[in-house]
Amino acid sequence: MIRFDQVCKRYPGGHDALSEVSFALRAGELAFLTGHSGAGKSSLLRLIMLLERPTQGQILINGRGLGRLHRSQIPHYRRNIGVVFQNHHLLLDRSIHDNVALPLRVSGYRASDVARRVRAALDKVGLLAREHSKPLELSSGEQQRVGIARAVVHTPRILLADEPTGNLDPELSMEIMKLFSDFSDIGVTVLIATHDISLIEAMGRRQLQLRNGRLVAGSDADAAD
Amino acid sequence: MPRTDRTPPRAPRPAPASGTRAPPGASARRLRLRDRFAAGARHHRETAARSLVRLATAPVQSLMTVLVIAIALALPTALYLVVASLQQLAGGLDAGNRLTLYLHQDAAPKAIDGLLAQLREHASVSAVQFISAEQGLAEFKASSGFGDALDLLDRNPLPPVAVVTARDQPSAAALTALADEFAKLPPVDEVQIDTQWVARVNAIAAIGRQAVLALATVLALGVLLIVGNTIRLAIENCREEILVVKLVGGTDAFARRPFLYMGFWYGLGGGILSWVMVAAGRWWLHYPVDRLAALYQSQWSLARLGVVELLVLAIAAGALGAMGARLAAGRQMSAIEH
Repeated sequence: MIRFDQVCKRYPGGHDALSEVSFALRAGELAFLTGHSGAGKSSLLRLIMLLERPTQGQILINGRGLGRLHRSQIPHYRRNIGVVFQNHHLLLDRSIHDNVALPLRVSGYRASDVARRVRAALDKVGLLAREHSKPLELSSGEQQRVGIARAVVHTPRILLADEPTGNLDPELSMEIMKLFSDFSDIGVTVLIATHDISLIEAMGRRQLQLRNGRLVAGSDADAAD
Repeated sequence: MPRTDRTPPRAPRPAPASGTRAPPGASARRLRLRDRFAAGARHHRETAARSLVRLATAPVQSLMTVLVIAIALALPTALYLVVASLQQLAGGLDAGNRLTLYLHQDAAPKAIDGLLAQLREHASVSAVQFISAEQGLAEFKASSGFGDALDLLDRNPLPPVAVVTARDQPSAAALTALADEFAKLPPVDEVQIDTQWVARVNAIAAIGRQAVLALATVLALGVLLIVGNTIRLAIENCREEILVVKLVGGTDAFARRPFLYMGFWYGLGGGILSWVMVAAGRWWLHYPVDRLAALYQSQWSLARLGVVELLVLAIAAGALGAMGARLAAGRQMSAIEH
């Protein structure tokens, strides 16, 4: 589903965020992306979201090279990806419902579908009762869960998460991980950037480890085809 | 599996494993064109309303912008009103009411008497003054200073003249028709309408029209810049929102739409307010103008700003506002990426 082929990302100024990164994730696979901060986790996620383009190498999503995507096609491509952001990225002047509905609205879903899907997604993260609240009325952990609901409301094929449990207590973190695991069970490819070692160990899933922009563990040789 | 065409993916998805609840509707991802259209129309409605609400949350700032736009639009509108009034003055109500009938020099006195009687009985004529060739020459001698030179002529070169004053205030067209009618009478050689001043006023009005056009163009550009600048700031304040919209797959057009509506509302408000301003100015001026017109025994008054002008102003200003917003949003929108 996701395939990196000798991908390099060099930022203007000469800093190499990623060097010769190669790996592949199958559809429905769940993997952790680890490494200390600055190791290139965020850069890797940004490349998949097409927030940036690689300097070298190729990224294939479901067999299609991202390099061939035109600028105008990027929004449509992104509708197949759900992203959970570390800093939530919620719109503070809109209700929880409207925040979660955004990915559906931009894709032009029918109003009745929007309402049904939003409620289902909020129910899944246990926040259905807070549907009409504003983000700032929620705790940080709850905001994080709203972000997760927004990331999955349109049933994306790929789910990316950048430190999704950074603000949560261990118990809640485990619940969130269970959610991600459920999504991978129904065929969603999940990639989670985190440095919550205990969590990773508890989950026992594949781990892609980055160090100074190089993949030092979890590449194709070690795990998936 | 990402597809990059405009329709969302519709490949069958794996069935949810037991124990997990996928959001319902996962199998019906195909969005029909009609639904997309309905959703689009709904989105436009919501966006328009939300933009209006957003303007209302900063009322002072919004009002200032609207006021600046209104003043910019009020200038050409006021000038338009002046020109329209001038045209009314030239074209309609008070086009002069005097005709000068030059008679044939050899017209018999009897024929002239017949003509004068006929003119005096005419329904559209209020007064007729006859100036014989001799009277004309005497007047000319007295007023021109060519007295001695004229004595050298062996015959009087001036024709007899009848000056006809029309009843009431005929329109230019009616006066011309009257002139044509009199020109056909036998002793009449030529009829001249005293319309030179009408032509002059028309020429002034033409200059005025051009000036309105030039002023309107310049100030429309000003409105574009005002709205553009305001929208640029608004976009800067909404970076986060635009970013999120783009991250979840919103197109630039989608992210831009609230700002286009914002520009439209600014323009619309400015257009309506400019109409109110000019209408108030007209009301303020119309008493003294009417008094002046009355001194000239004229029914003439300032042109009115009607509903049509209101609609034209509001729609044109709204379109200008949206255009200004579009110009401002164009490059800025694609620059917000991360």
